[in-house]
Formats: sequence, structure tokens, C-alpha cells
Amino acid sequence: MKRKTFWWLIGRLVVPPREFRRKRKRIIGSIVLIALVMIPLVVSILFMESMIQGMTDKYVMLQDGHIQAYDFVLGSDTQLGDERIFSADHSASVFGIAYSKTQTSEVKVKGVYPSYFNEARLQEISIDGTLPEYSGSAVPSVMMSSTTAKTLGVAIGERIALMLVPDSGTISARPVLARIDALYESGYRQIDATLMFMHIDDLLKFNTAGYSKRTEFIVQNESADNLSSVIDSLRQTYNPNIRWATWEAFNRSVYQNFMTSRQVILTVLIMISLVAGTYVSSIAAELVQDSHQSIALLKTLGATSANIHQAFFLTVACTTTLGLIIGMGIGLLLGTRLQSVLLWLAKADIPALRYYLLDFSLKIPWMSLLEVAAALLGISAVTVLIALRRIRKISPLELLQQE
Amino acid sequence: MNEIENVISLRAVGKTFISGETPIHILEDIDFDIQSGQSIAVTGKSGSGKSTLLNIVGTLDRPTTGSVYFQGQDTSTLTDRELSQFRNTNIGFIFQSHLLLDDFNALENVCIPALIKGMRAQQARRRAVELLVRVGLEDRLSHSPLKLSGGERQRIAICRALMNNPPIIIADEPTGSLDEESSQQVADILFELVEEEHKAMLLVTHDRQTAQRCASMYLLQNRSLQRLK
Repeated sequence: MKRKTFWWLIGRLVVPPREFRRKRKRIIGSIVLIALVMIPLVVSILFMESMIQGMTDKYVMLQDGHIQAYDFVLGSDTQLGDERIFSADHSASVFGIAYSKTQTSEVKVKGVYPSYFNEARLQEISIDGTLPEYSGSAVPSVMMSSTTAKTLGVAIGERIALMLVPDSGTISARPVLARIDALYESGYRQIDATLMFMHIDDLLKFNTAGYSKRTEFIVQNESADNLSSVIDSLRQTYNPNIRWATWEAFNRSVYQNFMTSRQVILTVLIMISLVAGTYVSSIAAELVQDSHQSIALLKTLGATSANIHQAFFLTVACTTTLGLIIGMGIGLLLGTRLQSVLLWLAKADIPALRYYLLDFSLKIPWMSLLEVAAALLGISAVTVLIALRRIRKISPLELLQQE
Repeated sequence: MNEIENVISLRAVGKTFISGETPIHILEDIDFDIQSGQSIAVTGKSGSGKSTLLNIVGTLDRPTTGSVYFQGQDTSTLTDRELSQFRNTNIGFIFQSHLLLDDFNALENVCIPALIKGMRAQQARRRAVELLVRVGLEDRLSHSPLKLSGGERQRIAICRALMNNPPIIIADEPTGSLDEESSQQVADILFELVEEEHKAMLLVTHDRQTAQRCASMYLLQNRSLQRLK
């Protein structure tokens, strides 16, 4: 059979003439069904991947940076020396308890320079008020999250007491009064619940020795998946005795949780697409069943089983691919529209959703989408091939027996 | 007669079906030749084995014993794939209930064997139109078979059988499902075209009148063929 004839035959099977409403409906129904399976899958993947990416960004930007160098202070005139480094900032941190007149809250006070809040970090938080400057007085300026402020029942301009607990057991805890000059909101309660910012010189003024000091590096987006190579390069540039760590090593359990959740959800989504894939084989089986006499006739007229098999396989493949493309398209469209709904949910402060990150920028995870699509296409190809084995068994003689 | 001059030759052909453990002999020791341009009618009672004989001649079924030769070549040596190509090129089939593909219009149905053969679409279309005009269906080219009468559908089936210019036409009760008037028209067209195109024809029919129009006539009885004419 010539390729042209072959495609003509497929075309007729995929788009039967108007007279064959039942056939048309079945093909369109199959496309719609595959699309309907794909839409929630795509939205779920988009939601899951973007949320995990959003949470990771919050941890990286506000809490630890991509890479940390411990007990290492980068001079202001030091060249970064690696194009992959976006920024390097000195920070110190200490755990403590914040007291208002009526409430208390556990906090992690992080000392940073105002320059810490660079373009990348400001994308992750919204700030109301003025960033903490060096006060030089006994009452330093702090920036806390609006979540902590709500817990403590305080507002900008009010004072709180801090009991800072140094890492070193030999240094005793120290009470400090602080003034709230700014409130921030990262949208991620896990961070907002404890993180508080103070000017680093104010923080170190209270006790230099007992606080954890480090330099936080943020790398360019394209190098974020290859941090070990950046560390190798930094090791060569700076003192080889410096202790280096990546954010995932520092937050091992958080990172593992993200990865496990991602893998579990992706596995579930792939399983759903596998079930959808097996459904595709029923389309093939129905198509063969309905075309039984046509297949016998085509064989009588000289078409080989391989020709017919190929034509039916490609028909089902076209149907599946079309459903997949439509489903993905609608899924991506809905996914990108999802953000306004999520923002509304974030503002609604629904208790059940409190620990989800709902304010994040959507990123299309092409690789995960490709994995799910490949799983669907792969399993449908296998199951359809099994279903189409029936074609080989249809004999031209059946045509005459049906007469 | 030289084997090569025969389009189809059956030599000691027998066919036995097994029902449970009981062998049922349908055909026994049949020797039979169809020469180029010759029309042969086979008649017989229902269940006498006419269709089985037709299936064997049309290479749709294989004999239990004996061989079927096409222009001297033993068809039993051909693989299924080769047999498909062989049927496509050398045999035109006409069935009692026309068996057209409803998804395709009249013109496309006629084109199918040529397209399977690998003929260019334009060339196939030209030949199909020519045949359809000859059977008086020039105004039905784009009609679906579902919208045509039984006689018209059978005329399309005749065109389809002749499309690849095969040396032999095998017709199984081609007028069996038609009323008397249509039956007469279809039979006229069939004999006229077969004669014009100089084709051999094996016609299986109950209709004595149609059978009489063939050059030779056989009766299939008691598993063997008896020549009547």
C-alpha cells in the first residue's frame, strides 16, 4: 500500500464522514475523555512543581541562600570571581523568644545588612515599613513577619522584648528590647512563623561569640541544580579550610520532604495516566470490532494485515495525541489562571491551607509534563498493540461467512 | 491446453472440514480449468460446496489436498502477504451483498484496490470514473453507498472488481439480493464488461438463466463437478 493511500485510510478512520455520527461521536468522545484526564493532571503538576519551587525559593532567599560559608566574612571589596554567583551576603543568626505585653513567640533573629534585601530577595517578600538600620542604641530596630506580629498582638512602632539564646552553652541568654520598624510577608507560614530580621551590627553588638555567622551565596538560576560545582570553584578562590554547605544539606529534612512529596505525587499522576493509557486500548478494540467487515474486505482486496494494523495503530495514536495536546493546552491555560484563585485563598487565611504556600509564581515544569505524557503514550501504545492483534486473526473468509 | 494458457487450474483439489472428530468432505478430486476470456458458471444446491470452491479458487482458502495454479504458478507456495498482493492484482471479487466500504463514497470504493496496489491517486481516479461512467453511475460518484440502491451498489462492486484489470473475476451470486429488474440490469452490465475487457469469470449462481449466459456451466454435486454445458 502506498503511503498516500495509507494516510487517506487513516484520515477516514479518524474523521469519518458526516453520515457516521456514532463513529464520529465515539472518536470525539475518546479525544474529550483523554483531554479530561490530562487537564487535572497538568493542573496538579503545575501546582505541585510551582509550589515546591516557590517553597524552595523562600528557604533559599530568606533563610539560607543556595550556599553557605561558615565563619567566613566576605570583605566589601572582595570580587565574587565566579559569574554563577548572583550575590554574597554576610549574616548571623540566633534563636530566641519574643515577648509582647500579652504573648510570646519563638523566633529566629537574623542579622543582615540592608543590602541583603536585593532584587531577588525582594521578589520573595513584601515589606511594610523601613528596613532595620543600625541603631547603635540599646533598642535595635527589627522587622518581623505580620504572622508573628499577629501572634504577639503588636504593630509597627511598638516594642517587644527578645530573649536571645546563643548556640554556645557557655554564654548565658540575654534579654534585649527592640522596636518594630517593619513588617514583612513572605506568603510561606513556615518561614513567617519564626524569622525576624535585625541589622547585623546590632545583633553582633549583643554577643559576637555565641551567634552563628556565615556568608550566604545566591547563585544564578541556571546553576541552582549544580551547587557542588560552584562550591568547588569557591573553594579554589577562597581559603580551602572554610566549611561550605548547600541549602539542601543544611535543610536536609525539608529538602527530603520536598523530594519525597514530589516523587510520590508524580508517581500517582503517572499511575493515573497509565490507567488512562489502558482506556485507549479499549478505543482500539472498539474500532477493530466496528470495522470487522471492512478489515476482512480490505484483506480480500489485497491489503496486508501489517498495512491495516499500522493504519489502526496510527488512528488511535492520532486520537490519543490530539486528546493529550488539547488536555495539556487547557490544563496549562487553567493552571496559569489558577494563581488568582490561590492568591484569593491565601488572603482568605483558611486554617486548613495555612501551611501551604499559595502565593508563588507559576513555572511550567516541562520535564514532569513530558514524563506524564510519555507514560500515557507509552502505555497506550503497548495496550493498543495488544488490542490490535485481533486484526491479524480476521480472515477474508469471515466476510463471506457474514453474507 | 497448456497450463500457462489457463488462468486458473485446479488439480485434484479436495477440501475437508473437521467437525469434532468427524471429517466432513466438501470437495473431492476436482480438476478444473478456467481459460483466459472464458466465463464459467457453477450451480448447485445450497451447502453443496459452491462457496468453498469459490474461496479456494479466489485464494481466500487453501485446499486440503491438491493444488491451485494461477497461470502455471502453484499458489500454495505463496505466503499470506504474497497471497494478498496476488489477489489484489489478479482477482476481482463480486459478492452477493456488494460489500462496499460505507465510510467511502462510490468513486473511492472503486479506487481502493488500485490504491492498495500502489497506483497514483489521479490515475486511479481516472480509471474509476471511466468504469463508473460505463455502468451509468456518472452522477453518483460522490454518493455514499448507503444512499444508493442495491443495483447501483452492485454496479460499483463490478467496477471495483475490474479496477486493477485482473485476468479473472470471481462472482458469488452477484444478482442474488436484487429484484428481477435490477438483477437483469446488473447481469447485463457484468457480462458486457467481462466480454469487453476480455476477462475470465467464475460465476457461482442459483439463477439458471444467468448461468446459461456463461460459455460453460457446471453442477457441483456429491463433492464433484459435472459439466452441464
